[in-house]
Amino acid sequence: MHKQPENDGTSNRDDLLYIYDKPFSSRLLLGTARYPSPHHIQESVKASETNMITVSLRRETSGGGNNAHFRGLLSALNVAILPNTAGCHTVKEAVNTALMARELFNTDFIKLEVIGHTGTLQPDPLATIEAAKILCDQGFKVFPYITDDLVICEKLVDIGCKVLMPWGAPIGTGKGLNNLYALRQLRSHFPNIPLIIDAGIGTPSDACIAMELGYDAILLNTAVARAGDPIQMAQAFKYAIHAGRMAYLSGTMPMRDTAEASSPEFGTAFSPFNT
Amino acid sequence: MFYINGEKITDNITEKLTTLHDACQYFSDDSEAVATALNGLFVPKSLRQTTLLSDGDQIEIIAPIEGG
Repeated sequence: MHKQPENDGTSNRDDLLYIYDKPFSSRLLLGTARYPSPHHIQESVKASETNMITVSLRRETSGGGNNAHFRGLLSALNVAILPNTAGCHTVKEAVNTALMARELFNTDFIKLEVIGHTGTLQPDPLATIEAAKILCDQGFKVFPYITDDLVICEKLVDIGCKVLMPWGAPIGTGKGLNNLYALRQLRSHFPNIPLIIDAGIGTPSDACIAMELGYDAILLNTAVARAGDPIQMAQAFKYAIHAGRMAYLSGTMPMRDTAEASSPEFGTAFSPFNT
Repeated sequence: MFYINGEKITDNITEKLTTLHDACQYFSDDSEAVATALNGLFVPKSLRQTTLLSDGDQIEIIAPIEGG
């Protein structure tokens, strides 16, 4: 039903995204939670053409049957895995979850989440910095989920994070980009650090705007998983992110406060003068 | 008595489980596909067989799951 052309131009081998020196042809990172079924995960990942998916860790259920199915699905998808520390509220929990993730997935990549406020799922900036420092020192490649606070981001870069993941809005809200001013400031302040919007994206146009601002990639989950048709929405995000990236690379026109005719102003019919 | 994933394990079972490796074998179908922590601290696979269990221990046996 969701047929795609074999080469629709959205995979640009000349415009790779490098994160911790690893190249990615897709600028969409996709979460695997909250889909109607495993089939929807699988087909949405394919439709999005993502190179990296996020996963989580939870207590094994006795016997472990469901987990075996999920592990099988991950193997079949054949994309990079970015495990997260979702659900952690302390440095100790986050660090030990990261250590378990490294062993389970055989990757140094870790999406660091240390939640500071239950209602908004706002990250705890101080705990995130402390955990990031411990993990960077232990050789992890940390992807910190953080607010759009410039000073916090600076500290994360100082301790060794080579990518930043500011939120657009609180997780799962779909409110888009709440603070364009702060996001622009981050982009101009960190011209050489990959910036990924993580959380809050609701529609493909949100993702497109972030890419037009010069963001390097988008990490999203619920906007696809909870769409009426997740697989088609995954495609929509792929196209929107590609369009935003092309627009950014093209250079958008300067904004003006006054109107300026686009048609030539000389030689108009009925003019009293021949100008 | 100890706990695996928050579940109280009764004495008639715990007396047969000496190490963290034993606890994994008891609780999980595939102990190679899980990660473990003991009393809040990660224990790598390589140390499970030599990690002895004590009364009141809190064991975590963790597996991959969908996440965002």
